Amino acid sequence: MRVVIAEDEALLRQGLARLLADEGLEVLAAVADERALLERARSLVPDLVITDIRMPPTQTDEGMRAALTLRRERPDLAVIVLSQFVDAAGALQLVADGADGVGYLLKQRVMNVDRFLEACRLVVARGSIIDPEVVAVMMQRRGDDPIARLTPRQLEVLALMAEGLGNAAIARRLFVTEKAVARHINAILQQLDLPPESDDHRRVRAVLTYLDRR
Amino acid sequence: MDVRPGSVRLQLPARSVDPTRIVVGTLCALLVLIVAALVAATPGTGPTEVWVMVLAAGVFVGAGLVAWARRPHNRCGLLMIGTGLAFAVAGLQGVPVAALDTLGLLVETVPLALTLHLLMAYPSGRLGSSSARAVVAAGYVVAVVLQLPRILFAGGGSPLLESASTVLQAVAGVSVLVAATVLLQRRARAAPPAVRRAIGPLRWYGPVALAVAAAGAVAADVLTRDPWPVVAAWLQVAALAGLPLAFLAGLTRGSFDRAGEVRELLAGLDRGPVDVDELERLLGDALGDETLRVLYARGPGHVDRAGSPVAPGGAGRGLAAVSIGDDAIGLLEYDSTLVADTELVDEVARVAALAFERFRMTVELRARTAELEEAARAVRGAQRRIVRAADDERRRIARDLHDGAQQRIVALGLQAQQIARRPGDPAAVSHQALELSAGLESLLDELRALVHGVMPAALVDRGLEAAARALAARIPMPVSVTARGLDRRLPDEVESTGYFVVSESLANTVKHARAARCDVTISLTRDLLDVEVRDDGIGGADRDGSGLRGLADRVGALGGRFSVGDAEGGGTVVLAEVPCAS
Repeated sequence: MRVVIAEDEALLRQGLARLLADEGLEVLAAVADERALLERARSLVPDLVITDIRMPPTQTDEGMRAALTLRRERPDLAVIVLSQFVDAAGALQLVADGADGVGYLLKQRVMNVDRFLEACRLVVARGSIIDPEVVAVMMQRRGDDPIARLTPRQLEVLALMAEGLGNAAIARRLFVTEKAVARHINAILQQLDLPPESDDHRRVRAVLTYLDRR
Repeated sequence: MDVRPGSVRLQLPARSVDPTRIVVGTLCALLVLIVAALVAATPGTGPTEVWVMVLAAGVFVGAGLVAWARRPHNRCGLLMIGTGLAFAVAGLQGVPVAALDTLGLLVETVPLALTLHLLMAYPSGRLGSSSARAVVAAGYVVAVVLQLPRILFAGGGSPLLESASTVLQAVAGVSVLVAATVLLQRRARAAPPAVRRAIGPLRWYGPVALAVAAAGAVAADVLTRDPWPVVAAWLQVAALAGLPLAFLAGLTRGSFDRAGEVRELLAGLDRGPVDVDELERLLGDALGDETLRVLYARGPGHVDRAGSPVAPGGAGRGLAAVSIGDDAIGLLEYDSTLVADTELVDEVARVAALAFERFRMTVELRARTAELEEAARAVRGAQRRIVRAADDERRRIARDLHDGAQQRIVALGLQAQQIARRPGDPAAVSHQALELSAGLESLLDELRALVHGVMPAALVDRGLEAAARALAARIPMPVSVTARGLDRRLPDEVESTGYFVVSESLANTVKHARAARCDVTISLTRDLLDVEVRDDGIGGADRDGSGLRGLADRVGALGGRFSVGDAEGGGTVVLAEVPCAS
């Protein structure tokens, strides 16, 4: 797996590069700002870009903008955007153009190496992943009906759907059968009046958009 | 006298006829009559000469007397009387008494010079500019000095010289008249509307009348055959006789007759309760000046009727004191180009004094209200700035935590992960563990600095003096800290405010003052904490910079006083006084 990393904090950039290299990923470049990221990602044609959102020069959302630009140029490029804080709007922005092959994670998730590597593999395989913290905040914000009418188990399933997990993964996480998951999902989609989606990443977008709607 | 509550009744002195004017009028009439008798008795003169003289003199003297009576302080009336008398004396030409004949010849054209003077001085009675004075002086020179050759050559058979001097006088006279006309037009154009209205018709009529009169005089000398002298004489009178009437009308009408207006003002004040805003309008009407402002004395300064402090006077503004006895209670501020007669303003001020006194309370209330509103605005501004400063501070802390500490923790976490995933190489593991530990230590330093910036531990734990000393020790310049009476801990907000006064002032000194040393004095006397930071730098601190402004707001919020100023002998002094009743 060929990776380009963009992160302005040097310690973190080097640490991340070394960690991924140790795990057998091919780190093509590790850069510190938006311009270098765009340049390298275009010339080196990686499978995956991992980028911090806030980078020089303005320390606002350079990473997000670069990620969206690159995705528009090369829809098959997978990106993971790392954020210092929970920002639902950022996550929605990322999935707006299509959730296949994108990830939105809090930066601290890189410390759980196995989970992080799993996320990398997932997005490269056209899956999507949204940080559970972000989903939790969005679910909390939508504390109204019809979400309030969901059972606790259904809420759990909805959160995992929003995080980008497929039926099988949800079943594994909740220690239930896949058939049970499918049943929950049908009930949820019906209650929220969402169209049935077989495609995981389209489901992610629908659910996130629903959660964001007021 | 029936005085209704809430109204002011004043007695204007009755318009009595001044005995001086009766005497002057009688003397003038006598003089004119004597001259008329002399002329009538002169052989070879007909009734025309008599009537011309009597009419010209009579109209000017009469109009002059009326103008003088109505506007005693305006010189125009006297000038008109003088012109009339000059006409009378000029009529003496040809009487069989040699001295009187010469006198008559000498003043022959003086009426013209006086009329010119009148024209230039109208309507205020004063010559406003040096060029006007020069033109008027030239007029007198032409009328008197250039007349002398004619007296000298009149008897002696030198007709050539006589006519040469006549021509010279005529040319000079025309020049003066042209210059006067130009000046008059220029003045009329530049004058404020009211003055322009007063000058109005005279602007053209005056010079034309003078020109006709002068031409008549010349014609009388040249065309000696009947009936020309008589025609010329009537022409002169016809041209000039209208002038005094026009002057009189201008002086007693419009903006220059104010005696009636003062009566109006009195009537207005008497009619019923006048409010404070109406008073200004009434007084403005009385003086024909819409821009008139009524200013009330308040403390050392003045306020307008709305109670806002004002600086009286300015370019083109006249001031008249309003007082009751020796108590100066206010001012009338008026347009001095519009209101020529200061006596009138003073009269209006006298009339208004009682009403003034009545409205001082109203205006005082308005002034206090305005002050309270201003103070409330200042408080709101300070509160807003305090809130914003607190928000800025939170934002800064959040950013420091996000971009600093949080990132470093993630990086350190990654390092720990690497150690965990690489067992079996004790040397490498130990090296990485040491690196991790060093990283944790520097992270702690960072957090400590962050916390210190928010609220120093020394201040929290040991109080203001210790915190100030700890701060001074870290400043890269000699800083002395003197503390007096700080034998107890003060309320938190007082201590932190005192500390921020010291820290912000020291930071400014280091950054801007180019100082060699700095002295901090903190003293507690009963319930007042005094903090003084004094440096020996270049001074000129920016009071409105956000730092000092924030301090002022903080100190103000605690009911204290804050000042920043240049120290005697250079440098900056920051002073804060914070009450701390606990």
